[in-house]
Amino acid sequence: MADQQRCARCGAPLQPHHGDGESCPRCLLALGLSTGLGSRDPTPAASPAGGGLAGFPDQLGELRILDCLGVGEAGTVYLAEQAPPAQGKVALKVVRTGLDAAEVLDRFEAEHEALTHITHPGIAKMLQTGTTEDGRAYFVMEWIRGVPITEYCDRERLTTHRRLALFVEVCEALHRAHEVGVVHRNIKPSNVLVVEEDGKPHPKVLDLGIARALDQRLTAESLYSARSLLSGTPCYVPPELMDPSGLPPEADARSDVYSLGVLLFELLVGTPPFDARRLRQAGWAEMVRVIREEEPAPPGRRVRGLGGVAATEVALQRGTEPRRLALELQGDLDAIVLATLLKDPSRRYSSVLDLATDVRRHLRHEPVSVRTLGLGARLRRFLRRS
Amino acid sequence: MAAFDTTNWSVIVRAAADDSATAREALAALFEVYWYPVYAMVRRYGHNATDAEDLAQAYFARLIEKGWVKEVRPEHGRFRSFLLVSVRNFLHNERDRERAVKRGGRTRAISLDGAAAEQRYALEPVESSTPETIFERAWANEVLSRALERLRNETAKTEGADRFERLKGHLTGDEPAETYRELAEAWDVGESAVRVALHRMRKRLGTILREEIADTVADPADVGEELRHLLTTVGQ
Ligand SMILES: Nc1ncnc2c1ncn2[C@@H]1O[C@H](COP(=O)(O)OP(=O)(O)OP(=O)(O)O)[C@@H](O)[C@H]1O
Ligand SMILES: [Mg+2]
Repeated sequence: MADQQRCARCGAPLQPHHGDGESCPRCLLALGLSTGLGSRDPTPAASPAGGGLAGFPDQLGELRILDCLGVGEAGTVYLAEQAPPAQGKVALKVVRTGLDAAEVLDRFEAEHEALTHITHPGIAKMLQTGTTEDGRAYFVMEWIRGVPITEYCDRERLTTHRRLALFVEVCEALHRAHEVGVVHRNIKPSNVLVVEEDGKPHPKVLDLGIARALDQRLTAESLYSARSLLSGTPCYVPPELMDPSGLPPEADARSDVYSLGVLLFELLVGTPPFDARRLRQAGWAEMVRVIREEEPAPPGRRVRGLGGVAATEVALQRGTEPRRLALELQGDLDAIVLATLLKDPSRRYSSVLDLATDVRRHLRHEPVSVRTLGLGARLRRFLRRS
Repeated sequence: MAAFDTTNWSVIVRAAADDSATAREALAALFEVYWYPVYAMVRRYGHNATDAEDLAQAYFARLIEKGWVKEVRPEHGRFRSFLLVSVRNFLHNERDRERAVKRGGRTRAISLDGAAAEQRYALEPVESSTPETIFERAWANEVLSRALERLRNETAKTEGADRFERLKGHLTGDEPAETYRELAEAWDVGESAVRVALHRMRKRLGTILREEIADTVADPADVGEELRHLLTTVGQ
């Protein structure tokens, strides 16, 4: 396993007979995800440095742009190479037009100042910010040669146990940011990539501080765009930030607790708590209603409800059988996940650390706080253990 | 395949209820495209080459005869997951190969190239794979190679065969500058023309991939999810 050939770009293992000049099949297939989504394409019109004939610009200041890594709601991310002597590869996020670059960077600086005081291996480093000639803000960040955490776990067919261990690491990284007062506000699989180093997976949180700087994610237009619907993004937005009647409150750590809960749900069950197909078809108002009002089914019950083919597939990806998987989830994990997804922020885990602690307790077969808080539950648990 | 939408899974699922001849023919066409993953899975379950081919034929005969397709529901409306689970069940219930073969293995309802399949199977990293991972990976590779083949043919027609061959290794990007320069010199065009050609080919490949996948899902809105699933299988 250790000496297996890997794609230099996404880190996915390559097959033994993979030819030298051949492209990575995973990266080729991923081309299908950046096409056909209709909305914003990384094509010329407003390229940061002019030129831009190949769908993306050649150069931005000292950076030579090599390729487009993907398009998000906020802009386009490129793979770029630093000029000598640095010469490392970096990720460059160029914010779309329509946002005042000076305001964006001002807001970002305020957050970033705090982030410069911490380094955490689980947080992708921000290297530089700036404004393009045509007045758009850009961010130069550490390039993460990885894939979204959900994809990684499914590819490696990680068991529930190992998924939880990885999830705890994500919580720890995020907690570090919370300690210096920075809330992420946009946790979702494409913002949590996993890289393998020395054969071990390491999650890396991307885009810290950016969501706030962009004042992103809060409009019907952005949440109900084809891209965000197809990537399942609306599911990750906490209900309190989806206020249909005007200005939503400032996000705090508990908003991240919610989005982490959605991520945990998806890691455990394979789909987010609210059916993506249904939200897609529901229309904006109904989507907001579902997320603000409907109680999601606990993960265990969700797996049991999947039925035949889908259940088998989800279980296979977790190295188990459907009935076993449902049993693993029911109880502690159901309780933990539901406690993160409560509509009222004040009833959720009050910090990401509390959430991580409970998951760790579960991994060690110790009683978890969400269940021991009720005396009845504690008693039941006590009786079962003795 | 994408051109004939009578052969796609959504049509089959819709037509399966009345068990029409069209549905059966369409199913045969789709099964012929994706039969190698089935073959590889059966082989990995421990059957030899001859038996694996017979069992694939027998499975297909049963699929038609018993109207299993009728069981498909929209929520598991993907041909890939349907085949995976239904072939597994079939193997489970047909431990006795003779019985399976008698029930249809010798009827040769569809044309399958066993020799070619066995040649491909010889390249699989068998020890490190389960029957299911082999199936899934082979499936994703099938989708990809069909899409690349279409792209090759299209590019050959419009820009000459050399274009595709020289560019295909660069479809995923992050080229050193020399690559563009060399190709530009070879074709006597500017570097930006090379970048444009590459960008266009990438976009086109993305579209073709989505079309190929659309043929295997019951609801076109599922293409993205299916694609995301395939991403997890090629590196297994
Ligand atoms: N630093 C990075 N290293 C590697 N890949 C990255 C990096 N930053 C972004 N990407 C990838 O590029 C793509 C686009 O990223 P982008 O952040 O623009 O969109 P997003 O994460 O889908 O949505 P959002 O704008 O809400 O963050 C994503 O697939 C993301 O995983
Ligand atoms: Mg992002």
